[in-house]
Amino acid sequence: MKMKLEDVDFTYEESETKSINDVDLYINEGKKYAIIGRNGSGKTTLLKIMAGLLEPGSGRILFPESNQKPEIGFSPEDPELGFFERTVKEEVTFYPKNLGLDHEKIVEETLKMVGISHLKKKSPYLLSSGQQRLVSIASVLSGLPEILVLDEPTHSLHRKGERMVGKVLNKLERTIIFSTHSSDFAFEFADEVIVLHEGHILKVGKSREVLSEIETLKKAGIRIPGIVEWARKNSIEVPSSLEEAVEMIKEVGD
Amino acid sequence: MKESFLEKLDPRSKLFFSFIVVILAIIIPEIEYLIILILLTLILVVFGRSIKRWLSYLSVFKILIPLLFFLNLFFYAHGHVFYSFEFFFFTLAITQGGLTTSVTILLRLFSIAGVAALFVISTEPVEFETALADLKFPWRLAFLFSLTLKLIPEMKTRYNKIEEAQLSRGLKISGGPIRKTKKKVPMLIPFLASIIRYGYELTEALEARDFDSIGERTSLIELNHGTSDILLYFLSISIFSVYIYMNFL
Repeated sequence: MKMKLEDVDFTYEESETKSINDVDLYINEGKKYAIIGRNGSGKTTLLKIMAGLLEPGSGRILFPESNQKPEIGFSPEDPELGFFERTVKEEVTFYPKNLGLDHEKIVEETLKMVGISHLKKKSPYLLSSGQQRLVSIASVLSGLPEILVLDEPTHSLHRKGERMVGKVLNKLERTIIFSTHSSDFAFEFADEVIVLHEGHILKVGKSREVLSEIETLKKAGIRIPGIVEWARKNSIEVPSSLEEAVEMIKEVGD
Repeated sequence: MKESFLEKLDPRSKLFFSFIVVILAIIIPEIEYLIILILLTLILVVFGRSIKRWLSYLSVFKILIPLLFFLNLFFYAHGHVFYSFEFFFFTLAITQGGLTTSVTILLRLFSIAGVAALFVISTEPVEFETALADLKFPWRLAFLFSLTLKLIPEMKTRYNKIEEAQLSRGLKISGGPIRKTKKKVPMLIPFLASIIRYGYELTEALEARDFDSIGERTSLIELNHGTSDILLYFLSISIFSVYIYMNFL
């Protein structure tokens, strides 16, 4: 187990109500977790607590496998807000340089891994939203964090941009926790889904299982994923992935 | 959605109450009356269940309050001396007059800031704009006021987001004042860029909505006085009249 949250509560200074209420959570190594919920359900707050940017009001965050807190990288919802360097390469260099790492090799490898080597001399401000998101992910990955926390990585992206980000996440072999509004994205790219509702956890489990529970999704105000809707209409079992759904359609066609 | 009693009040009645409190805070020299004025604001805040937000808005004064207290205490020293001591080449004294003046100034500041915070936490900028326009203020001026109200929390939110983005990428702000300022460059540049971008976005949005069009301007927001508003007007006029009657007539 990589991270454990025990009875975590959080209330913002200017607020009268708890934004995060009695959250218990286990984060396992190497898995991808999607936190889904409607606006104001506490997704960003929970991510910031996990990333160490907010101190919980009560409760504990434990890292059972490490003696000290591991490096956790956080990519905010609006990636361009953090950019300040002239080029993408300099932006990606910022994190390892701050940690005193040998950044030359790390930066080149990170740019390659995320698939943005061709953009390294461009200004991060002049890129498309999808490319900016990838630069933001690369600028966090270059610090070699053990856990990657991404706030709405598909925010303001079209379907093609969503898939571009999703494929990059699939390639990364580390613990990733991201928030999203898109149940389709969560179904396709997360191993496990955490459904958040009014600051507390409504359900945690495997993506396919959680996102097939219509009542839970309705209560949390989440749209039913297209693939689940399709399976329901055709009265068949929900496929475990998009690829399996394509295979099923092909079989029906044959 | 408007939840609290304060948020449900008409912005014009809250504006009137705030105006009366500010006028009284300026003209009242007595400590006990200033305390009553603060208590009145506090009662409204407690009824509105907004005590935490109200205090968080006033937290900016936590440095200013002791600073003002000590400065006024020694600079306005007069009357009976309680205690005096040597400070470099000066003799500083805690006097009855100095103590009264510094407490009065602090209470005056707190009553004005308190009622301003009450208004800000319970009024949407767009409601404030409509209220000013309804009170026959030039619309552009009303818009300017509401935009200023909106811009301060917007700037705060943007700066916090940038700070979080940089801190989570290993930036550590430590050392002396010069070193700390240098370390803040990764926050100041995106912050300035973000504010300039916000200005452009706002200009585009205003132009797209024909900001400069000639003719009478209407508003989507309708302001209505309720029973609570009438009571607030009554309370405001009462405290003003009672004070004037007791002290000037």
